[in-house]
Amino acid sequence: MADVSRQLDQKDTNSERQKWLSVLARCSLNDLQQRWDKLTKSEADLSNLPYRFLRKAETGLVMVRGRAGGDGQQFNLGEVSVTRCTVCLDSDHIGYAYIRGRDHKKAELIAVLDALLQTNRWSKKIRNTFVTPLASLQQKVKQDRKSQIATSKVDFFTMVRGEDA
Amino acid sequence: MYVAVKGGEKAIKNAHRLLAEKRRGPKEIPELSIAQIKEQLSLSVSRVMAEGSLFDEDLAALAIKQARGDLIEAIFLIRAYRTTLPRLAYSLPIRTDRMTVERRVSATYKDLPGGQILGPTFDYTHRLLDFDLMETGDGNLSEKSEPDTGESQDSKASETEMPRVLGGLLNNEGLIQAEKLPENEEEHPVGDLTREPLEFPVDRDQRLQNLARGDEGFILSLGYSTQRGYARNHAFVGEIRLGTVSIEILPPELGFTIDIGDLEITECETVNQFQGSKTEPPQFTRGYGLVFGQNERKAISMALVDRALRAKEMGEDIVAPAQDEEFVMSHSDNIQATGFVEHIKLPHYVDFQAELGLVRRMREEQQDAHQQQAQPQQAAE
Repeated sequence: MADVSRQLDQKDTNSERQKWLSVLARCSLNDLQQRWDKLTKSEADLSNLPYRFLRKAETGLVMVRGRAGGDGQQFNLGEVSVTRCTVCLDSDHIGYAYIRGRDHKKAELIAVLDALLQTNRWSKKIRNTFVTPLASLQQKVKQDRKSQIATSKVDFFTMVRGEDA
Repeated sequence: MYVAVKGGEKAIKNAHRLLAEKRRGPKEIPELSIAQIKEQLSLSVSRVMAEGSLFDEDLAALAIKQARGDLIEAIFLIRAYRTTLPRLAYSLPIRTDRMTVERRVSATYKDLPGGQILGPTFDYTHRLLDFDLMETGDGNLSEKSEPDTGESQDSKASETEMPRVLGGLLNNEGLIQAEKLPENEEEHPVGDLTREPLEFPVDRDQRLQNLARGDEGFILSLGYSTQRGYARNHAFVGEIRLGTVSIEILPPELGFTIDIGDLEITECETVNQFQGSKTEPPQFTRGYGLVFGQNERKAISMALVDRALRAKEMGEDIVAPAQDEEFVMSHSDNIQATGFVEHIKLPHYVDFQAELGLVRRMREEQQDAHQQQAQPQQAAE
């Protein structure tokens, strides 16, 4: 029974996971580490959390694709450095990280968080400590930048030429 | 033929030490940090990322520092570095229509949904040296940076949708050529110049990849040549966008797409006149430019050259360098170019000895021939 309900939930979990992975990938290591250090101080189980690597953090390249005219034929634009990492908790929950950049520590921490977010025990805690506040922080930064940028919105007007007047 | 030389180790080592000292400059002047280069020379960083064909601001800044500000040398360092890394995946095509816009202007439409947003641009500056910048400190910035909300009626401007000018607006009237998609896109391989050697003729995907990593100066000059009448196709900038887009990949182990972070990008679409052909009515055609980081000069030039290179597809006569894909693509890469141009300063002693011998022999032969001609004349006298 439990397996069936887990399968039914897979789609929702995937879309949830997409959201948290996207938020975590955009954080600095500093942001994540500070929160992790604070959390592990109060949660002894997390400070010595056992996990093993299915894939140690490694840096490679992702070839970024664009489309001619924005919506036409695909082409390879250029590469971006990406780091990935996969960990497995004792509960067999597997956590993945794929992040832009070359930060191995950050990739490892995100993989651990991704695994914890899938567990019943830690999901809520990690969400409240990391995902929710960091998402709103990112949203705020984006909004602030948007309103700064919007001050340079321009209204051009064409001059009426003398002979036409 | 190039023949290698041996020796000179000590001199080379000392030359490298001199280089390191020169790079550092006088010790009493503070050393540049990577963060300073990244944040304050960000357009150099953009160029190195675009032509190095690797988006990584820290590495580009490091390369600039190591190359003493020589951007082509920095691009070389980046190209060399990227060969050491494994290719993990191809991204899904980026969605520039969903860009978080920093700047967006159109030269063809004055009023467009989402508005025109100038953003951080050199346009409309007076190009006068700002001597205040001679002094370091934040004094000048705080004064100048107070935003004046004056003109903008709608401070939430960039929150509104920003439809693509060409695809959205002009296409509605059917006056512009639509971008074609290959019939079976899933099965249609996307050319990759980093994997397959260049073979002509090529398709537009390979051309766009080549232009995106091509030398800014070369692409600029070619673009300029099209405006001056070599491959005449009068172009307007339909739209320029600068901003960030997210990079999405589909890792097979996960089975769903994930977003791995943001990419800063400049996009340019040009609108060009087209008289029409036997099969096509008169309409506008398009050129496309897409470049890592902030680089409008390159994006516009790329769009001009992309359009010129579509000559064959449009049934136009190929009469100018910018329309000749073999000429353009074989000479656009500044690392290939600088490698071949600069290598002639390296020892070519054996090579040159051979040529020296050849010239001496030809001289002797010529002198002998002259003497032989002269002797019968003397005899006749």
